[in-house]
Amino acid sequence: MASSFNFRPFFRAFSIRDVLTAFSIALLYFTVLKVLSYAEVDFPAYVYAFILIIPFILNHVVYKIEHHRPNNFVGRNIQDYIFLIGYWLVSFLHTLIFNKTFSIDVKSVAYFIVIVFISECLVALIKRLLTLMKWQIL
Amino acid sequence: MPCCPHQAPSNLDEMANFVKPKLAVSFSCIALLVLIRMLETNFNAPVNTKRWGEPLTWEDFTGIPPIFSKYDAAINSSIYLEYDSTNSSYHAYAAQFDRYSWTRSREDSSYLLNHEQYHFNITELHARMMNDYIKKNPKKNEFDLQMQLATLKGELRFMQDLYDDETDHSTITNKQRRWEYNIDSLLQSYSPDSGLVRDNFSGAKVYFASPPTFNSGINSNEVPFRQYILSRYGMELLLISFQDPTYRNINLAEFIRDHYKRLGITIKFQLVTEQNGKTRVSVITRDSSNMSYHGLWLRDGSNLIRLLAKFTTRTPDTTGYFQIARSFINSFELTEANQYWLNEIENDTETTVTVSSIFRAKPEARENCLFVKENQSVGFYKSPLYNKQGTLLIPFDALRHADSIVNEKFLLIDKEIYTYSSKSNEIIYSLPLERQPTKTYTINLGYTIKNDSSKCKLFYNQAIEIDPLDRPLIKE
Repeated sequence: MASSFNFRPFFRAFSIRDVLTAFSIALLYFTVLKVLSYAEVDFPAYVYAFILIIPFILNHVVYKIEHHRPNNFVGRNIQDYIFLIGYWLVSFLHTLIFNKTFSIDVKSVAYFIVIVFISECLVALIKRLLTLMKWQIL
Repeated sequence: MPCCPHQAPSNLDEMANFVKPKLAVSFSCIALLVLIRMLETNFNAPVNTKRWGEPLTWEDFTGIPPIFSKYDAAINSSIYLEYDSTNSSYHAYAAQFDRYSWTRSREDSSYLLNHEQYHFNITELHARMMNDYIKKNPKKNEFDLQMQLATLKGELRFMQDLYDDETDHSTITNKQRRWEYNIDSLLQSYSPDSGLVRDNFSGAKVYFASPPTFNSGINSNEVPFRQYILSRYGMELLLISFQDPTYRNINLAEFIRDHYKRLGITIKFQLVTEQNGKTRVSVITRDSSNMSYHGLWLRDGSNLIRLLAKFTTRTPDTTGYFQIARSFINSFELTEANQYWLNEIENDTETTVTVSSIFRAKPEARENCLFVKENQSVGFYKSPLYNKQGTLLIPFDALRHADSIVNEKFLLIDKEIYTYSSKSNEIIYSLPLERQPTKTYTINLGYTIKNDSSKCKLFYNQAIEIDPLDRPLIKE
């Protein structure tokens, strides 16, 4: 449990490849949304929620494959925030290059940060329960 | 000793394997984003903006349609703020962008173009709202105006989405027509022209969401009429006033029943009401071709006023048409137009008449005389009114002959002939107080025509009975 809040393993192994992972997944996610928007595809809200979860899962899966170990709670949060920063950076650059005006909704930024943190808390809790039940699938 | 089989393999090799896929994904995404942008902007074609005013044509839609879109057309328009240095104020306007507007088909799709035009009209409506805000808040600076503009743009997006939702992107025709009527009405409310049309002869006033066409004349039953008609929204909206002295004594409900019976039209609904001493009959009828007519009839002295909203009932849902008909008929009001004519005289417009001469008739005269033709309807007159000096005024619109052949205008009363000069067929005859008889009398008003070369010119005239008791008391 204590290792979950230990930031040292993450920062000890942290390198540019982790940033590249997060940023490339952010770029991929942004592109998927742009393609769906251009194609005027009209999915129900739960489909969009599902599409939103995938990049976060992908982020952690690639981290696990690269580092041969899963990330801990602190590391997952940081990796998620790097992904969010990457996504907003891509949005900013896209708007700047093509539309020349950019606006950021501070409320939505705070909203996403809180949602991510709460989600990771839930994942950590589920993981802990599974560990207690000796059913480690995450 | 060989390496432990569980020891992690070389990081360098694994990093290289994952770096290449990440870079490949990134470059592919960038390429896709650029491609989408190129398609959205028609490969950076120049943008032409079109301000609201002239109707849209398909030539204003030059964008590339999205590949998987299920729609046939789309328009891109927005509201912009500019500084008008001549008035030292800001001004909002609606503009459409051809490069971002697209269509799949340009053939025989005027209905679809009309739907897109109304998207643009919604943008124009919000631009007018912005201008109204600027007018009411002249001291606001640019920042405040931009904040208000941002708020309006949010409302604009909402209204555009609602328009598409309710009409199902123009596929529900009656809802589409209802929206057209609503948008035109809202545009009218922000324009100098309020949309209220009043006939200053009969006093009938009703709201038209778009300017109607006016025509007047004498029908096949020799009855003068003045008509305003609007053919729009898949309907026909009509206000028509008839004038005939015999209307004073008819039973309106029976008259209407006979009228429809002669035409072979079934009356579905009829309601007779009395309002301010005037009989009103509301009627809903349907003919053999399933056209529904929602009407209102009203009799005011010699005038018979009729409102009509006509639409087809062949579509499964006619709610939108019904709502338009109801709005139209409910907007009707019978007004007194006296003040309009009194203002006309004060402003000395072309309708104002001055008496050119007054002379006594000589029945034995054989030339330079008037041959008084049998009384018949030659035009539409407003019921007599009086100004402050007690002068009798009768506005009159000559309908039997065209403006170009009407010669001199006359008023004949008890062998006194008054001649009038005016440039228009629509004139106001006047009779000074001192010339008015004290008992009920008849006035013949009318005109002669230009190509009448006879010694005694034919006087086309209409007789009106005047009761001096109707004249208001003159205050000293």
